[in-house]
Amino acid sequence: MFDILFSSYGYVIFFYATAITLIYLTLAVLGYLNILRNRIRYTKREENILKLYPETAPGISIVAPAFNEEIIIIDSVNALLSLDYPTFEIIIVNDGSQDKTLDLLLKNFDLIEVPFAYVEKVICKQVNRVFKSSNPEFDKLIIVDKVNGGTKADAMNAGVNVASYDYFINTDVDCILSPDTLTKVILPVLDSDIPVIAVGATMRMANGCDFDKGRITRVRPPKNFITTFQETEYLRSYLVAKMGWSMINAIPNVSGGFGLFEKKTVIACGGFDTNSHAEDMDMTLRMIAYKRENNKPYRIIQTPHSCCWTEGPPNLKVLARQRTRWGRGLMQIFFIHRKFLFNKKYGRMGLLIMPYAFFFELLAPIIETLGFLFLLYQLYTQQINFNTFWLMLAYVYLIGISISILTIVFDISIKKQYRTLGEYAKLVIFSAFEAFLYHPFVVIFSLRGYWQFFTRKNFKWGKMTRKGFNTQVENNPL
Amino acid sequence: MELTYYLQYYFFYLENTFTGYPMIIRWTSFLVGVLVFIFLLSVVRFLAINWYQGKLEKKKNKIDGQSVDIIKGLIFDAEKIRQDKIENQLAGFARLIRSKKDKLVFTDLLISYLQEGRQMGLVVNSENFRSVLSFFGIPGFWEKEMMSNSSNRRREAIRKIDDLGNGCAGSLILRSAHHKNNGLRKQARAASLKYDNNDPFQFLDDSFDLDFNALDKVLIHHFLVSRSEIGSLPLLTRWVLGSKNDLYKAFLIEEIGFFKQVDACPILADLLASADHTQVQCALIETLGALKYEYIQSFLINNYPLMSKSVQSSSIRAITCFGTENGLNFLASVFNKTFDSDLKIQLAYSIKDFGEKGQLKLDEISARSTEFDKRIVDQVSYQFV
Repeated sequence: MFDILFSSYGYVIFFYATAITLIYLTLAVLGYLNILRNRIRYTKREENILKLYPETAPGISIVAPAFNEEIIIIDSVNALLSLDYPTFEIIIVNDGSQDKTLDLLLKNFDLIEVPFAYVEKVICKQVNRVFKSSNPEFDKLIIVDKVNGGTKADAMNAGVNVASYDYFINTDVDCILSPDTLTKVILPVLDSDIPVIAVGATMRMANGCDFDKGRITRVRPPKNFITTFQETEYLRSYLVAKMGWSMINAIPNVSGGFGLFEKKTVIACGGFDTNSHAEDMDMTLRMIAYKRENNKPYRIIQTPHSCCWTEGPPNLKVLARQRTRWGRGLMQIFFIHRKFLFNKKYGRMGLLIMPYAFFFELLAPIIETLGFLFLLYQLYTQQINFNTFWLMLAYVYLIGISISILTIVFDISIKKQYRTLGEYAKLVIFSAFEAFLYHPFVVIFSLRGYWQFFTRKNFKWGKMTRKGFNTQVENNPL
Repeated sequence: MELTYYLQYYFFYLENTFTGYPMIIRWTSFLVGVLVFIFLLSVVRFLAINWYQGKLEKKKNKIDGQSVDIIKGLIFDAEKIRQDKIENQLAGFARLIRSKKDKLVFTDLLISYLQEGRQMGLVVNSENFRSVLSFFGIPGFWEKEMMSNSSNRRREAIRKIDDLGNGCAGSLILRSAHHKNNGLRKQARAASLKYDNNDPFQFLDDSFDLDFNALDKVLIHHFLVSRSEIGSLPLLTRWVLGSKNDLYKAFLIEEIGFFKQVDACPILADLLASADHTQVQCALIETLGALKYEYIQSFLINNYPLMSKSVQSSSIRAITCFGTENGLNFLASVFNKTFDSDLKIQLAYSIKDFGEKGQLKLDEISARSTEFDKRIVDQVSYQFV
């Protein structure tokens, strides 16, 4: 009985790995075509024309919630203020910070409390005050001070309520946006016959980069192990997976770190879910469902350009917190939105996006762990056929490394971000060890997230330990 | 020969090794082969891209390092310099810019010099610039690219020619104006507005293109602005009346407002009475507002309750542009009746735009309104000291 079970499981693992290979190769081809298409359609020329005629550029609100972010808040706001786009506003939502976040903002940007007719279009905790700057240099800046809601979603909703433009960007204050971000994300919106409800872009690790006053002056690969592995992992996710899915309008998730959203659709869906642990994927899925249920055409687009640099978890402890939360969030998504799974009423979302996420994202850590235990058992009982074992091991190993190096090639072909060949080589070398030194931890943390979802009722949001972007410029002392 | 030999050797070796194994193992060996191939191909491509980009960078630095001062001096010189003098000055650099790659790099450098100069407030001496370009054969190179079989190269050529601002034969642009590639076709059609001297507005007929979208608006706007700098534009109403695409109609109406074509007002006012598409209605109202065509104010006031929210919003903007006493009273009365908070805030800002009279009206409203309305008035009235 055991033998039959183990033998069948061996086949399951094989076909599972093969399915992943085929899906990823297909996504890589689609992603590459999409990158080529993007490179031909949108160049610096189109960006410059858009900036030359402000009357043609749609306004964009940038919403960035901040909770106890005193270390990075000033650099972050300075970076946002230096974005190169004609019409935008920056809304920083101070989500009841207990440190000096708000005080630093008030002092550094000459902020004054202003009367504001606040309208709650989507639900969130009470908004206490709205600040604007008396200094014309910072006239694009709005600070919303609210009662802490415990989640990013709650703070985002407050920002959406205050936003005045049709599109808004959902980002974090620990993210540094590249100066041309807004033109890069709005061009595909303008170039679409079908209404675009969201646009995603490539995110990378900020950890190794050089900064000056919140602006990146030199892009480098991260210096420590964890973030270097994450850099490749992010690139794989954005340049292969999301660019590929974008080609067939089947992006499952516009990242919470950076994404452009159509405000009226977000409001029509009730805003971000304050109870969700994966508010970005939850929002994306609900927007798709809303459009499908109302028979409205839509598009979700991914742009290949690196628009956003975020501070990644610098050590295992912080990575554990982040990935456990992601694991919890993913499990929650399948509980809340289970009606979408295999439901043809929801089109690609029901028959493609959700089944893919279910089998290859949610179940992956479980299947991999069982496969590993199964391997240990076979080693112990000496049932391993070493003639074919190495072949199978090579197969599984090559899936990861081939896709990783392919991703790195995609990245250079879009824009050479690092200056030297050696810096790219570092990513290639690290990808060779990712399967042994990084991936097992991600699997363990995801499983821990699943476990917590079923066993705990109250969750605390994992704290991210900030190091800050700027070592040269000190925040203005109070 | 040797590579084929090795490939064959390993193929037969693998075939021999795995013959007799279950199908699953043979499949795996095949997939491993595919993945190894992808891996090796990616490594080669990784090195090749790095090598190519490095070479381009070196080339760029070499050209830039040796010629930047002289070329910038020529193109931003206030005085026209004779062609033969320019040729003498540039003779030493001719060997630097010979191949196709050199010309690509040099064009990008020139464009960056132009942009830098404009940012510094320098004026380009177009005659000197033209001499520099023709000395290096840049116009000829891009014209040749415009006749290429590749739609991508043609598209790039149109962009570069426009960036250089040196002009180009309209007939070359028109070669791409009926191309099957949407992007190239639309770009060529938009560019013909500037470069075609025979019939520059021909593509404004038939709604510009079947695939018209918001990015085309930006492109057309750009080329219309360029054309308007050469001479005045014809009345755009001709193409508004001829079009069946409502989005395109709305766009042209907005352009009429942008280019201040006041003569079009009576025609637009007639259109307003019969327009049934929301975006066209909004464009008409806002354009007539921008052109201060006050005759429609009574129409807007009378029909306000029947309008959709977006048309109401446009009407508020138009009435604000007219700036009449009657309009102010109307906006104030609407403020008290409106339940939509977005419109209420817009109305308050519009009333404020009437200046002192508007502020007085806001004070009146504030004295007898709800807490939320008072908050709106406070928001609108607030000014930084």
